[in-house]
Amino acid sequence: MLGLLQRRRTLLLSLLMLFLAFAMLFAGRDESSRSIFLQRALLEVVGPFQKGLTKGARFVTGIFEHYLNLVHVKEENQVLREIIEELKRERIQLLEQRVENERLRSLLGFREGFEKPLLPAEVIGNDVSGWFQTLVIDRGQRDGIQEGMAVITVRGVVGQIMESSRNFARVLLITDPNSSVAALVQNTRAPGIVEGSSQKRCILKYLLQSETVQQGDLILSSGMDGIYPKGLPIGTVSGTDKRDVQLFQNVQVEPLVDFQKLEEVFVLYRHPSETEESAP
Amino acid sequence: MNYVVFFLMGMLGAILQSTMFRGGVLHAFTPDTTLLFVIYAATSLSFSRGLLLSFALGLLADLFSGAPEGWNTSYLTLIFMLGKGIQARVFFRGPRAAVGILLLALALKVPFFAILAPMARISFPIQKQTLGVWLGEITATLLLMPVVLYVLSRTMGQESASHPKGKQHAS
Repeated sequence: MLGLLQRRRTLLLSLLMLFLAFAMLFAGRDESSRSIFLQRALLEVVGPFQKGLTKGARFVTGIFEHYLNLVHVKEENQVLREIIEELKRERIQLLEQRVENERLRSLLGFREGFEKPLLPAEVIGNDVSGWFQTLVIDRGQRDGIQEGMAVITVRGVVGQIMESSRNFARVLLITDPNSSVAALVQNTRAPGIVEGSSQKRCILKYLLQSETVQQGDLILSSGMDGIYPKGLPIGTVSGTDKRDVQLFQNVQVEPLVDFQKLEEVFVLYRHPSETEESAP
Repeated sequence: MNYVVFFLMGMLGAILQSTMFRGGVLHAFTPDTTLLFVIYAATSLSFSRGLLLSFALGLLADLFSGAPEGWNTSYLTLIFMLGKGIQARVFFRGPRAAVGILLLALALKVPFFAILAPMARISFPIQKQTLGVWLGEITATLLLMPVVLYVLSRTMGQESASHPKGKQHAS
């Protein structure tokens, strides 16, 4: 028996690994059985590296964009050039501070407009594969972050927290096909559900055929899902798919948020009891 | 010890990928670094160790990407086994085998996920944008392949298919 096992070791090991992989996948359909511990542990271990690398990359990009391309503008003598560069560097710093100041002022104004507290967070990483639309932020359970909390920016809805560790959290973007937001068309108040469809777009589903939607119409959150507050901009209509044989029409929505350039977001706090009430 | 380094390098690759390929043109060309590690394992490591490392790297990719656990794990484990199987039956070794297995793996990726998605109750729509992501990934992974395989071969040294166990399993 032992000899047979020894001879078939390769086959048995292969079957075992495949069984484990598929078992994890099918067990994962039930949210309660997902290996939250592993995800949290990885977020905690990897988060600081991601944060450091992101800061480093931004620093290098900042130097490249704001300084290096200015160095070779003119051929001056050495002394004058050094003075000019020094002045330019100071000017860039001041300009950056001014831009940052304006941005922070607008964020502050945005933040004060909400009844519930908003927690600012920095985006430090994204989905490695490109197949799922997720982001990692530098806030976690220590800051009161919980699964299901809405994530927004000044421009509109970003997504919701899908998992959180002590110091970091992963955000499921509204463009992910597994995401959905209760929405309405601003002009007609017609309700529907915005679902992710790809890297950059969403689809407004379950909109009655009788409703008229035009390109450029603004889509807002309706607040019916208990996650996103009512009235947050989601995107604009970029096209419609209306067929007589169908009960509903599908509307293509271009999100207002540019997810690839996101640097800061806000997490909308919810009391734990609200989370339980809104759960199905 | 080499295997721990191999796994840590895979992790480093995933971290770099999650931070360096954010935004702009680069995002459209996100390589699959973990797949490259598995291709190396399939062409250069013994069966049992390579299989365990492929499984671990798949799990790592799942945890990094926010995908359900088992999604990349099953894909990478199968690709490793497929790679070993191909080498045992076809007279291809070394870089040619690696390129062949990689092309096959990349070509099978989306069909495999599309079949897997309904079984795992995950939404994975196939549309124009999916093809864009797929082509970008194929291009970036192929471009990155020589660098990753070179670094891995330097790091892992002589641990390769010439390993007695590896030879035994490959045949």
